[in-house]
Amino acid sequence: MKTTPNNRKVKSNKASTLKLRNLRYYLSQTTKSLWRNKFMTISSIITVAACMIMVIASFAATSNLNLFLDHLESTVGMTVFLDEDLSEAGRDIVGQTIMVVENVRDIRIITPEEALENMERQWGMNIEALQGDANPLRWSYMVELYDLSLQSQTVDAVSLIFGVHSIDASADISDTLVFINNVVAIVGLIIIAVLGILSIVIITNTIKLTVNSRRNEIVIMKYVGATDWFIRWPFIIEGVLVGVLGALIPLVAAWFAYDNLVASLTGDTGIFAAMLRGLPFRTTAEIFPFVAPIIILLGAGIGVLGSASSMRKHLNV
Amino acid sequence: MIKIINATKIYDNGARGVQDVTLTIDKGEFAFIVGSSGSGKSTLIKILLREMDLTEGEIYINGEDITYYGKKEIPFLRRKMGVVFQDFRLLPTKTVYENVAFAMQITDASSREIRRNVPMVLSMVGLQKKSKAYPDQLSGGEQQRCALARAIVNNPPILLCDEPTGNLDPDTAWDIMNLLDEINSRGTTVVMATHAWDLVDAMKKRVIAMKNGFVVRDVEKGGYSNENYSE
Ligand SMILES: Nc1ncnc2c1ncn2[C@@H]1O[C@H](COP(=O)(O)OP(=O)(O)OP(=O)(O)O)[C@@H](O)[C@H]1O
Ligand SMILES: [Mg+2]
Repeated sequence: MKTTPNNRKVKSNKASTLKLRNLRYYLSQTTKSLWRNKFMTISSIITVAACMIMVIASFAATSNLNLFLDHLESTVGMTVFLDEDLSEAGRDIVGQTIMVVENVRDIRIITPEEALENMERQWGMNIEALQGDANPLRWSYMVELYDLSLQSQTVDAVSLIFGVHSIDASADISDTLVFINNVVAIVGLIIIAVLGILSIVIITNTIKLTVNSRRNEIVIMKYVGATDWFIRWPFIIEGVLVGVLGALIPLVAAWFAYDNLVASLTGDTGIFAAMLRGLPFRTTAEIFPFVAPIIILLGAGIGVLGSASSMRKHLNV
Repeated sequence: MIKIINATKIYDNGARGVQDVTLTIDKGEFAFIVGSSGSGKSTLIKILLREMDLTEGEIYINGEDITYYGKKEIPFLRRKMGVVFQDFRLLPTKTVYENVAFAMQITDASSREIRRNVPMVLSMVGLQKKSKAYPDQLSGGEQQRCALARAIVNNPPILLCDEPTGNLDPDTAWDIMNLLDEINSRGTTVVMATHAWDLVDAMKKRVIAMKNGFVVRDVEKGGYSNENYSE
């Protein structure tokens, strides 16, 4: 009986590389353990999903708020009322002076008649008593700014110009928007950080379960000469799978829900309809193709961190 | 093949595993390690497997100094040494076939090589009919055959056995003993730590006796005990 198997030479080994030949083995290990610990698997996925929903939501919110700000910068700006006794030449000089003030993008002159028309349109009525010579409104300039957050400095500068009577600078809107934008960004970051850490901790624990249930197997693997990387790969893949699944689920959901959400926010019955109508919103196509790869990579990264920390703590390889 | 020079292993708690052991075991040899409980037999096997660092001394395998092997080298060292334990250490969730194939999967064996070699070793240990059985469906002797198949499937030049018959009845112990002898006769160096004096006496192989971590006797074609040595 001559049945001794051939002696295979130990091949040169870059042990950390993922060998395709082994991938099937790794995947079968991974799916088995994910299934065996299905409750932990599901709760890990849910935690990652919660984290990712927050990432997506804050990203969508800040990117829309930025868009609102841009929009407001070009439409709101400020209105500069002129002294009543100013001649046409005087009005021109004031206009040219405003144009050289820092942060001023463009100006447009508004006649008292135009101002009255605007007012009538806004109020939805015809105010005949005020038309013609009876018009009490002043000449004014509509001023567009480059940066709405620097509005108060610009107001200060413009108010010093001779011939300027007063300035209406709806400062509250711009300040509020800039503030909201910052708050959303900061709160979003905090929530994302907390949930991100939580996700890593939970994945760490899920993988700890797998490590424990396979401790025997790992000891035997070491006796028969498995490299540390061979032992690690299934756990890394497990972490990545949990992370990516946790990212994909909210991503797909948000991708399809986004348009409806915007529609319901701005629709007639929406609570914020009055506030939001007329504002531009980012489209699905503007947000998701860009955010999707980030979210998926983030999920995978959280998964890798979770499995790495679990292996460092619970698997001496 | 195996060369141990002045090896001492003192455990962290101060227990003396082996003390000043110097041994050479040649290629193709069969060596029993005997001695009472706690004499250092398992420790000797463990230092060969590089399960732990030596406190002092050197170990050479095939002329290569393995004393300071690290995480990178140890797995490849172990692929050159099959190992069998008293408690079999099979994976309960895998079949006989899978338990053996597993040892090849962790190396870079192709599935073709696995499909060729696993049935080969299973028939060599007489388990070809049980390849689909799970360990808990096997007798102790069959489990140890399976462990043996796993140990030799990668055709290691050295086979280390720590009380391989310790959990088996005398007849089954003899079956395993004969298998080990057969594996040895094909050129594999076999080192077997054991308490089974009847096997040792009958086999007439080299016997290395240990006491308190020291090698106290080393005879060719020896017996478990002899006149000028008593435990
Ligand atoms: N992991 C360990 N930590 C501390 N001391 C140990 C450890 N393993 C073994 N020892 C000690 O080392 C000495 C040798 O033990 P070893 O296991 O090598 O003996 P043995 O000859 O295999 O015994 P047995 O026949 O009972 O298996 C003993 O004193 C033992 O208590
Ligand atoms: Mg022992």
